[in-house]
Amino acid sequence: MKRKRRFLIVFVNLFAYLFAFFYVLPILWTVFSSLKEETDLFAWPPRLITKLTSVNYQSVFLKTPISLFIRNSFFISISATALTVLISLMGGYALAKYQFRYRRFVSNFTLSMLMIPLQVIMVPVYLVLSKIGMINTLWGLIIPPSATPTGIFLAQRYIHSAIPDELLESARIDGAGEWKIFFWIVLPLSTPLLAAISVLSFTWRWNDFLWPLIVVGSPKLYTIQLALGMYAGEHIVQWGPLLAMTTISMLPVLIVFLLLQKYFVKGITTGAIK
Amino acid sequence: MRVCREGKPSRFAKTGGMPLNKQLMAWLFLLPNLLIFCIFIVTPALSSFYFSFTDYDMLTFSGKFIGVTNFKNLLQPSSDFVRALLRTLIYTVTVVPLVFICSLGLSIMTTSDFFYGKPFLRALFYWPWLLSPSIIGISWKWFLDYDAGLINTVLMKLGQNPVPWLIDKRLAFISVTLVTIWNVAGYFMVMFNAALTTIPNEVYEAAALDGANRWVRFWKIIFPLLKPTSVLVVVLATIMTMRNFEIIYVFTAGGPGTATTMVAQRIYHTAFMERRLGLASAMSVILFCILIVLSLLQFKILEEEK
Repeated sequence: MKRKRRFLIVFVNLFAYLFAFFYVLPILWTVFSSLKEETDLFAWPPRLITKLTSVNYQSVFLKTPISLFIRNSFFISISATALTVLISLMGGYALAKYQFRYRRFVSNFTLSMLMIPLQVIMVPVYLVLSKIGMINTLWGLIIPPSATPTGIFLAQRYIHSAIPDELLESARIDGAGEWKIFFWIVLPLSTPLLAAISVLSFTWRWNDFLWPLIVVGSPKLYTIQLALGMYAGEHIVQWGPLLAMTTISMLPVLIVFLLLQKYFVKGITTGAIK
Repeated sequence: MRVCREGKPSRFAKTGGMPLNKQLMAWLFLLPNLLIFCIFIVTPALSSFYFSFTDYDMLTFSGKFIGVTNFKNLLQPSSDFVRALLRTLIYTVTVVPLVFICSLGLSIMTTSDFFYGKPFLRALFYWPWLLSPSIIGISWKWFLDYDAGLINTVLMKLGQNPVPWLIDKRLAFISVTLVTIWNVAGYFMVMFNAALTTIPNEVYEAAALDGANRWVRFWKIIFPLLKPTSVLVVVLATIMTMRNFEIIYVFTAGGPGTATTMVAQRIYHTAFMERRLGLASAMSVILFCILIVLSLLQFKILEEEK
């Protein structure tokens, strides 16, 4: 009986890991293929095992402005994240700790923004952006997506329960101004929240495709994700360099995920998508 | 009535509870978010309603009011839009139940005590959710490539004929469906995991005492407890699938022909390629009306859970 059970467990685990391997196989295949020579990629008859080379990575750096794309992506992701963290905390703090008229309305209004996905309003968004001169600018890529209902919602919930009212009141009695309270008490006490929103926001911005697609026209402002989409849409796809670029582009989020896994879960369990 | 910190009844109760200058601070803190929401979400949303009644185009940047003509043209039984809408519905109706089954399956797998290295498995299944639309589109396009994709390579090694995954219309549609499920299953797995871990241990123990086998125990006792999460998963998956655009844009670009062209793709194409903004807005309004019903359902569920 016991032996039978152990055998079953080994078998089930074997199956699970095999399944998991196949689950991520398309990605592994991309990484593996990026290390093959172009002649091996399309060899006839097809070859599974070939010698590995970095030639695709060299050609991606030599023949495409990939370092520019990576720089753009990092600059946009990091500055948008900083902005998101700041304004989400400000908004969440106001909703959590201030009693003001229309508070409920503002809270519902914020949440209702989740109901209007960009896919539905991309056309007029483009018009608004061009009216105020944000098409093809870094500002157009950074500012509009930095306000997120999820960020505000997370901040509101966290600040509501983690920062006692008495602390804020005693600071007020000591004569601290409202901005001072925010920057010297609320902000430092919200580091776990700060980390959670940063991780989410960085991932969203790094991976974002649709927003850059609408805003950006000239390759000078391409993020790496947008560049990938554009190269993949060309008539003759240069698979070797493209796969190398794809592999490079997944590294930052993968690293953030491996280091800060627990914060991703927090964002999901709120039940909100972006 | 609200009581002030001094213990007296508040003089400001009528204005909402705090002195006016403090209330002003709250608005100041909220200002950046509200401003962005109003300029980049509310204004476009409202103006798309307006544009949907015009024949505005993006070549001359002008147009006139034409009433419901756009809607009339769009809802003609054989129009491209109706076909895309039907296709999107079929796609959604296929994806959602499968996503539900897959994510619940993954969740059981990564919480059950049968398996070793559960955190590792969990992270692995969650990974596709963290990949960008470009990465997903390109990787799968390459994986299913006719000449050099892994599946066809293996098939050819085994002496079989290669399968035209992205060339045949029906297979392309199935591929898009599969990739969508693969992309989001890990995300919903985490939601189910959260729900499964909040079920108290006593429930499992009581169920075990009942003596029924695991299978019956799960469906009779655990599954009903997951109902709120299940409903939320179905609604969220439906919304995500209905509005899906980016992955398909990179993966198949809507092709071959229009076999995988969904509503969002039609909107994008009509607006930015054909430059017919009024018509595209009318499409947006129709999609928006469908999505808003689903979103209201989502919020109702979230409210009930609290």
